[in-house]
Amino acid sequence: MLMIQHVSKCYQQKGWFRIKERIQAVKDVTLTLRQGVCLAIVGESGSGKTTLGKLVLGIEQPDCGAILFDNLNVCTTVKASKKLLQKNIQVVFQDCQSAVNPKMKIKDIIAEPMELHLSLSKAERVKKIEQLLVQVGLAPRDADKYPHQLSGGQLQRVTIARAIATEPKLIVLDESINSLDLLVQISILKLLKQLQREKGFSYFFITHDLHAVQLFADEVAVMDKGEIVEFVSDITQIDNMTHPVSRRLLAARLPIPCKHPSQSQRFDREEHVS
Amino acid sequence: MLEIQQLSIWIQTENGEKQVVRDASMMIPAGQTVGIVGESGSGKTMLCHAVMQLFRDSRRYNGDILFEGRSLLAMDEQEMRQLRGNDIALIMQNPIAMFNPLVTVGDHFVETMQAHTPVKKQQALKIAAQQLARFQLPDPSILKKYPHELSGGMLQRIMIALAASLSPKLLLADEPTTALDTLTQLEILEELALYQQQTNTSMLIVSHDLGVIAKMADTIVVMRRGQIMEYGPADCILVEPVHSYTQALLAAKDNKYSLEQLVDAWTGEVSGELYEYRQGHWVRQEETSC
Repeated sequence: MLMIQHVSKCYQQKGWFRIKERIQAVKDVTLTLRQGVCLAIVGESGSGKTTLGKLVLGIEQPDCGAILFDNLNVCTTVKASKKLLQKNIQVVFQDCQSAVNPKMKIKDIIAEPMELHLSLSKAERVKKIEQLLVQVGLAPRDADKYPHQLSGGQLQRVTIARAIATEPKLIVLDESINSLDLLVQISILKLLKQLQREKGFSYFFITHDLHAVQLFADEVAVMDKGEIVEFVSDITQIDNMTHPVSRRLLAARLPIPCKHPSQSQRFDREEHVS
Repeated sequence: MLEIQQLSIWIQTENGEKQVVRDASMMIPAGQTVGIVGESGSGKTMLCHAVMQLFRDSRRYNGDILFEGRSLLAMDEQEMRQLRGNDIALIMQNPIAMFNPLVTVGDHFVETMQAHTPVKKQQALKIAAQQLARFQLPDPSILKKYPHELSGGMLQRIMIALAASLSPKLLLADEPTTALDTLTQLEILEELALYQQQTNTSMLIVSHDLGVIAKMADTIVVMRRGQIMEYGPADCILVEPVHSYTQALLAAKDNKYSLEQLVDAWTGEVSGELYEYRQGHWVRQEETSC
């Protein structure tokens, strides 16, 4: 569905008093993402994973290579195909506070992409907004609130509702859950997983947290200095990654040390009872 | 070292007073690390502010905080200023927002040190370079840089070095690594642990990530909605969590469980009394449905 073919991207630092510097953000990346699959891109900060996400969204143009979505180039300038791409590729950013307009009510935030991409009557739209809010675990009465009245986790759900409002095929998740509480992270991952199963969404999951990857992704690509250094197509093999960068990311997971066998047994039993 | 006794905190809001911490008691023994874990709104940052006595005018306290036997709540602002920085230092969450963008890193050190000790500028810069070297920033040219020229990880290291430069007896770290990526997080936590080993400083570390707390703390406090849910030695809590909220938090960091098995929202009410489950390990009683 999404094909990234030999894509490179270079940034040039410009300044009045500075010598021009070229930074190779993405270097000859080739990846394929099938429908209904979650592909995780992991790497340290500065490894080019966000740039790759921007390229997929068509916000940035690659210097060379091409990104094809359903055989359409994401950098197309043809208006009709551009609109089709915008409908089918959506994004959820890390910082939800700055990803929404503080002057708009929640219902207007979610309605905006629908007005542009779906031809619905006003009544249908209101009904759909209600449906979406319930789907992401919010109450229909939240529709009349403003962003500052919601917590970070709730607002992130709103941005997810906005992303799924146009029924896209691909969602780019750029560090979408990192700043949230542990249990809120789990509930959002669960929601996204459920949508993936029901609607066949694909995810381009950009993160540096391998624990979330393990829970959520199907395939993993590790990036370092703009290049893909390791690719794992089976998520259960994630512990066997060999590249030094992958090993370092694996080591940074901060697992809970020293497990006592009795603890897990007790937890399972309690789950069983409830 | 530090003892928090039955502390309750109220803050002023538009709709009158709101209680954010209720009857929290804990102790930080000298040379040990206590970790507070809890979700947003659980009152963990409020506790840090209470220990530093920040925003005194807009908050109301009940209970007591004893630092080396002296009550912080009874102190006037003058005495408190002496304590802040010298004896108790705070590392904040967002390093980028905490630095003055118009002041170089070196001048931040000079300002901080001259506020507390009669030290010459040159000497202060020398101490600054030493402290920075301790936190993996050995290049002295960093002192001439402005905050925007440095990465988040570097700024957080500088903030820790800044806090450490006056060798406080107690270091409060409020979400010290939340804004950073996992690799930098690990490095900084290891440096903090090493610093503590070398200087025998007491530490209070606050995070919503149980992984961070598990790595650092000797004693763990689990908080939710301003109340302590479980409090005890890290070995006990990590191996055998008693409260179901702690269990849910632990499972969420465990590689063994798949996404479907995890509890995504712990909706139980915070009620019941704290009781001593075993020596030094306190748990809040849960209401049983049967």
